[in-house]
Amino acid sequence: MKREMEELNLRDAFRPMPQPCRNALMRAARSVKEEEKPVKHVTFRAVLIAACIIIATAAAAMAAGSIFGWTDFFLAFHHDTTVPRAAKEIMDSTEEQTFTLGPVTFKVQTLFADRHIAMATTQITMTDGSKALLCMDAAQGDAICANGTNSTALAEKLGLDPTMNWMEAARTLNCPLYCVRAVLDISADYAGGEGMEDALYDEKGCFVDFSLLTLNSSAVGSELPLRMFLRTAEIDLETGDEKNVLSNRVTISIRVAQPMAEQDYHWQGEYSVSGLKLDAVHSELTAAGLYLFTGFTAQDGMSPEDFYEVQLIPVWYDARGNDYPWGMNLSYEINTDEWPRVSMMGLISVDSIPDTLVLALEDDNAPDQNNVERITLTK
Amino acid sequence: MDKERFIAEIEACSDMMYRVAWSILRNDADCEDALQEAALKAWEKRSRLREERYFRTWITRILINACYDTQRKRRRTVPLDEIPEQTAASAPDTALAMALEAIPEKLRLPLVLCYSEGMTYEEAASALRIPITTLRGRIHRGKNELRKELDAE
Repeated sequence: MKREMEELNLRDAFRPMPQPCRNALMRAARSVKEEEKPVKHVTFRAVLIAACIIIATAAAAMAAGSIFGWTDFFLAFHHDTTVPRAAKEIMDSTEEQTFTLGPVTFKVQTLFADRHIAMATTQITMTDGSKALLCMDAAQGDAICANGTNSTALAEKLGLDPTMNWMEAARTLNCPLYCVRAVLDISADYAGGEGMEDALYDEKGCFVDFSLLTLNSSAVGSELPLRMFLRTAEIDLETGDEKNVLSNRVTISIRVAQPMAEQDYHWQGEYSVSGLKLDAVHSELTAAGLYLFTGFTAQDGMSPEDFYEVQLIPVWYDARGNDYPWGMNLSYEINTDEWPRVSMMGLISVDSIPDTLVLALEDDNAPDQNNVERITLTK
Repeated sequence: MDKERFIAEIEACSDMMYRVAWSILRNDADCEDALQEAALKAWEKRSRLREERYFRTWITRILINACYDTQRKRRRTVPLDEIPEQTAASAPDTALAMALEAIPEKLRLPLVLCYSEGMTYEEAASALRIPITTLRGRIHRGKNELRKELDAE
């Protein structure tokens, strides 16, 4: 007999946790030793500076009219990533570009690009201000809450059960449902091969699409032939099928933020981890933060497959051992085309080039990184 | 995070942790190992948890790593024919359990995190350390595969 997906309760695919497993887990949890509570020593001056920064940031946010953008996105989904000050200034000064596709209006609110990434946020609304629900492309059958606390809050604001799907929600509200999309698009010559798309609802409940593209830095100059792919489809609330599908590619004008400074880093002795020897560290400061390019040589007999099996990534710490916020690109690049040379590129969210950096080449899959050797790099 | 709070968080997540571990390991003995390992590692690394509200996603990420570690150790030490065969017979919905076991792990785990454990796509993507677009694709494919398996029964 055929069973509908909606009828399934996936939790029923599991038996209850056996008591021996529960006992083992809780025994381990209770066995941990409480150490002396770590006390962070900070000087009064440091506290005072921190307080000033908080006040200044709050004032800047108020002055900027709090455009709903990437800061909100990272706060919602990637709390270890921040937007550097210079990038925020560029985003906040974006000249709005508006496009209309049938009943829907797309307003590109923030744009940012350097030679490595391009980012945009687009607010999408009904052109005539009529009542409608907007959800992400192909999400009409998803629960509203599937997109996190932000969409759950929207459901609550609209008096809806957050676990109902978008079609049920539109039926309940007696309004149309549109799947919408506004993503950055670029020709293959300029593309870096990665992209990210997501959405949040701003404080007014408007749909805001977030789009990020990685770029081929060697092809990007001061101009970027960037486009935005726009799409809207009304959803049949009974069948979930799309109707009245409209799409378009529009040209987006954007200024590419150029590198502000470059710096090589040096170190004492040799740094080798899991068969990789560190050869060079170069950094490039842009408004997006500090791009760090590390070059390694793999030891004899090691193959690229061996290397990818371990999934080593460079993790960056400051001189005190605190890790830096992840960069806005949300990923790192690894290139083994010139094997045994391995190059890795990561981004950390900083506003200036640090005098000292600490590097650890960590196994992305291993839970314990405490014993990984670190090396201090200086300018 | 103090010890009392840590124990409470682990207890609150224990059923979810078991289901995630089972989804990867499908063997209670290995689950026991991975669960213990994950709890100990989580305590060691607790300073890296910047906000306690993210505990569930964070512990899931640690647990998945612990499961893969357990799996690697098992591969090194146990011949495949000695791994006890597991059945889904004791699950409340046997057919569903068998269908879920039949689909590839990389499609199964996103389904389990989102549709059994109620994680948001962002939480699941973060726990699996994959881009959200990849997660969406895996969920879409996972649903199709699961449907095929159920239809085949």
